[in-house]
Amino acid sequence: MSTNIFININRLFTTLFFSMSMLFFIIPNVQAQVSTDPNFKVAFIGDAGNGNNATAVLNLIKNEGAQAVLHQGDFDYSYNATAFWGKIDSVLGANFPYFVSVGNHDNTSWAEGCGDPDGCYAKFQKDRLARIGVVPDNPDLNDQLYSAVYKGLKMIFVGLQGNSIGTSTYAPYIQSQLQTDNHTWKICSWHKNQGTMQVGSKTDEMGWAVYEACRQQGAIIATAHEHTYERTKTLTNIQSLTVDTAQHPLVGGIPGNPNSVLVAPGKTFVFVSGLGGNGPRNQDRCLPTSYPYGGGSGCNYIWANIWTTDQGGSSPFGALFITFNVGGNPNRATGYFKSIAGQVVDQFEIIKSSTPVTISPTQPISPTSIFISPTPGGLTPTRTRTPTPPNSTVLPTQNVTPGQVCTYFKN
Amino acid sequence: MIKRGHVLLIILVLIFLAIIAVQKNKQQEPGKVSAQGRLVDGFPELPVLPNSTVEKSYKKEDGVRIGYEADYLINTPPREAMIWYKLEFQKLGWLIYNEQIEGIESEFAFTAKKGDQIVNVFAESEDGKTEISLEIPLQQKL
Repeated sequence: MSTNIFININRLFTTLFFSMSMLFFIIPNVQAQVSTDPNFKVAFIGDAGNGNNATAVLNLIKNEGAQAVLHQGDFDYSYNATAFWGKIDSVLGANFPYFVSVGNHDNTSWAEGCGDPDGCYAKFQKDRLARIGVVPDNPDLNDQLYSAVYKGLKMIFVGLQGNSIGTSTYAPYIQSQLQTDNHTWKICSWHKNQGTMQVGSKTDEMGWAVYEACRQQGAIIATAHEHTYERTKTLTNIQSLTVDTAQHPLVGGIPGNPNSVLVAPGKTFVFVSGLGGNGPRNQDRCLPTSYPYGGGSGCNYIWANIWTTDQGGSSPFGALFITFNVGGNPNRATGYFKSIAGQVVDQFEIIKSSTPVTISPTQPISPTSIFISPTPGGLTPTRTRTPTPPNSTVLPTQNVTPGQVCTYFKN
Repeated sequence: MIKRGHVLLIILVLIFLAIIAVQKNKQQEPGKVSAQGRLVDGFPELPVLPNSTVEKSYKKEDGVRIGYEADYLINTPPREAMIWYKLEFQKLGWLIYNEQIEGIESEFAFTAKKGDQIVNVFAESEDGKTEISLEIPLQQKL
């Protein structure tokens, strides 16, 4: 009997050993995913300028409790790195985590040794990274390419020459940074756009390779350059403007569920957050100016939310905030765009998953959200406190007309 | 004498042209009328920098609101152009704000407001020339 027991135990261990060995060969690349710190809130801006509106946006970021900023280029438009970074220090603090990609209005004063008596932006960025203990993959930022991790958020920054070296250099760099990366949340950051990746008058200035490389690796794509805010639905092919209809089922021919997006290998969403303080623009394409926006060629109903001077008046400035690892779920994030006037104009959920997720009731994202009824001209709005009700979700506004903004909640 | 084959060919050509026309209309932005080299009909009377040429313009409507945009080209440096526009708008009683001119090096902007009307003015260098944009966001039709 003891012999039988010994034989059975031996068989059990042998079976276990071979099963685990098979798993090792079948799933060779399984790595434990590393999420961000819980409730890690990041602000995304671009195109700031050096005026009062840029300061107001920084104060908004501070008041919303953001723990880091990603600024997608076009800093102060003055080529004064000392003044620009000095303002950051003054409003947010000298050790506040502020990460940048270079814009076309920063370029000539970017590289270390730029020769600008007011300083070089890259040097200030490097010094700040060192102060906060963040080590970039390469200490030389002059090539406008670098990556870093902060509080579990993987960030990849690329430069301005997308049209010339996007395919040969930027996309392979993105691929090399992300293909073996085990962070749950990844951000690709650059300044410029492709024409169909914005709703103004910008043309193709980055090439598609960088967009597709980030999408293939399941990274969120953060851009600016066009002085507006817009966000896409989940895309499974960015160049062809293909919306993931599993996540956004068609309703009357229009992909629905715009405020619940997926991020996973092969799918992601793109946003332009270019209302950091300088010269806000209107919506030139993908009309009309209210949801579901345009569905024709070049638009294809990809846009989930658009906020320009056509929707927000003459001072629609603000920032996009994304909070990662929310509600105890490391694979869940929530986002909202808030203006300096206190308007929350976009609210959405992000799930790190390739499995379609239907929109579900959410807790209020920002207890201090204030909805403002814009008056014509937008200079003296009235204020009405309308917090997002608990266990509800903000639905896209069907039609925004001057004088009143209606927010529909679904319970 | 027209042969049956010729008639068929003509019909096919007409169908082809109709398809192209439908596709062109589909690609137009709804509610938007554009013009190249001139101002669209109904473009409001606003200051125009002398010697500038209209590159393109458009008008867009969403029922109760109307908006416009016009892009001009000129050789005047963008900062000078913006200072001219600011002074001209002020002479006509417009309030100037959101100003990004002083201390700015490359892309200039301001907002002008008069009553319920708003105009956003931009200037930046573009391919060796200065491009000036006058944007009138969607506003109530007067």
